[in-house]
Amino acid sequence: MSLLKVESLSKSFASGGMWSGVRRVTHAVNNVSFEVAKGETLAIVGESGSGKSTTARLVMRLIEADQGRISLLGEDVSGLKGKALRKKRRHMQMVFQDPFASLNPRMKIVDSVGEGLRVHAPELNGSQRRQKVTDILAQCGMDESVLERYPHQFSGGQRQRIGIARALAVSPELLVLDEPVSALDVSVQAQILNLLGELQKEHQLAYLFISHDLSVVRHVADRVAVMFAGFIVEQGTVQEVYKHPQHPYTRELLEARPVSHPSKRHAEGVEIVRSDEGVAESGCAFRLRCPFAQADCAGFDARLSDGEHKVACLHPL
Amino acid sequence: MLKIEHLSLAVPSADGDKPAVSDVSLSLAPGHVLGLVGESGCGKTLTAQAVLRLGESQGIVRTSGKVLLDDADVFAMAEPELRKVRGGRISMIFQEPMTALNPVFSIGAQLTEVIRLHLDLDKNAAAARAVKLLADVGLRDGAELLRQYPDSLSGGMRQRVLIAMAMAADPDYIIADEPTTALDVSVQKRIIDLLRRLQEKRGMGMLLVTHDFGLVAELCDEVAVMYAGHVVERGPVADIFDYPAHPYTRALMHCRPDASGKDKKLPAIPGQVPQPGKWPAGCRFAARCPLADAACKAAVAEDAWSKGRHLARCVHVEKVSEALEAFV
Repeated sequence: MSLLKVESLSKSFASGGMWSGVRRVTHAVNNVSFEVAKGETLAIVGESGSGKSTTARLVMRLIEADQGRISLLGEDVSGLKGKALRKKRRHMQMVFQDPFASLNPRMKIVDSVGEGLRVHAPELNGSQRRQKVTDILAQCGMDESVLERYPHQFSGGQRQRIGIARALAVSPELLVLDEPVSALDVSVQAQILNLLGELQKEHQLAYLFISHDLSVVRHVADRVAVMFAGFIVEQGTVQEVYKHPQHPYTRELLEARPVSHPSKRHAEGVEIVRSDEGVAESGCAFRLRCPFAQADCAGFDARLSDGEHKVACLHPL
Repeated sequence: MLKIEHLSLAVPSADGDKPAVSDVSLSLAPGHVLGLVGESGCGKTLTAQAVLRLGESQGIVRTSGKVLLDDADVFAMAEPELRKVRGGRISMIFQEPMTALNPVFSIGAQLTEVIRLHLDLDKNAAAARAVKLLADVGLRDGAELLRQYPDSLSGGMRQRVLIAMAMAADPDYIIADEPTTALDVSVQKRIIDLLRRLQEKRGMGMLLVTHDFGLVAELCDEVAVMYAGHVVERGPVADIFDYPAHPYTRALMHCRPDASGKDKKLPAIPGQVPQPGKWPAGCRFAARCPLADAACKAAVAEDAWSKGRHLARCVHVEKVSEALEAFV
């Protein structure tokens, strides 16, 4: 049984209409399915607007899905509300890109990190809770001196440690991490990635790791799902997808990464600006940008193939 | 030549000016690309902006040193002369394509304004040049685009428009401050290719400010690495990649996530960059450096030639080279 199972999740947003009378519907997440097992990291990669963050929010039930099913530990949580939903949140917690935005600036760290415990472990008294918070912070590399301080007194990396500690306080099985290291400098990014690795091993945590950075994903993930325009276009183990990308979009992403050494600079290619961000309304969403597109792509239903390495493409590489 | 000589800058704060850049010397020849690399708070943007004296309105002061454009000191220039240099001989591309364009003016109005500021052209000629500039940066249908407003353009297209603007007066030098940081990878790649093509075709000198060694590998001929207000290492790009001589440069290169896989620990650098005003005496990297000893805390090393034939501000340059050789 997988820890998290997401089936055919869809969400669209309507925009415009207030003045112009023209309402546009954006299909942010389209028929997305995946599973995350205990102790495993599934990364979702994609560019801005691909629907990866919306997927994270849907999983956390921060926004409501139009369609689809989310199961946590074998139980359908998509319909839960109020108290029942809060109870389930003990099992899944979220870490945001900007931990400063997710920490109450007027609350001391000890209270921010311990907030979840008040709800999920009401049996603890004040000093027990404080002890637990101290332990969690220590695991995240922060000592006792931070307890009485406020979020603005910390650097980005320290805040992210606090954000992770806050999520871990209620002993969840799953962390949903939305671009957790994107705002950090590389040296600090490495510290946080190492911390996430240690915590995962120690607590058998599962991660749903949202990122636009293919190098980071390669380092942290077991499996990866590539999203484009709300669709998962490819899914498989990191080794398979990075070595043998089957979807033209995945290959474009991988080839777009900057080189690691000046001697590997790409030979000058002919630049064709088809469009920086063209998305087809029907058929394969990528076909306007795809160098391998053929006539039948317009009628493709974007269905993922079966198997361990899945791809949604009529003409896979 | 564009030269920065022993430049020191201070930023204003509640308790007086704090030194933020110290004793930076760099030089950029036409047709070359110089990368200024480092983490946030190391002073690379301040240094780049000082070339055009852009920090002055925020109270940033030059405490010593010079910026020389063909032997004329930019800091000695009177306002009209400086205005000609800005956008004329030296132009700038900023990080945020979303905020660098004014949302209430059309692309055409903003682009032709820059063109007519620097070139003696009438409205129609300026519009024609604008269309040509847009074509140069890979945007078709320029005439149509001129009538549009920034909010109808994607991030990649806005950055192209800003690059077109920077090219308006055929500058000799361009300063690009994190020009692709806010963009998606595939768009980033196209902008990198575009910048390289324009730079080569026009023989411009480019100062590229970035935190990303990948971008340095893609674009630069030479690199200067900054840490806590100092240039700690500089030299030809291949040399820096093959023989990083300063422990900070080495650490920065190695802590990037790579293909080593999930269970490998990244060689992270402990701690963080000290803030301006909180710099220690001696080597500023010493607190985070695995090679640091008493000698490091005593004095800031003068630039020393390392084995890699380039400059590094480290008293243990020899040790780093040996350690690296052992490592390789």
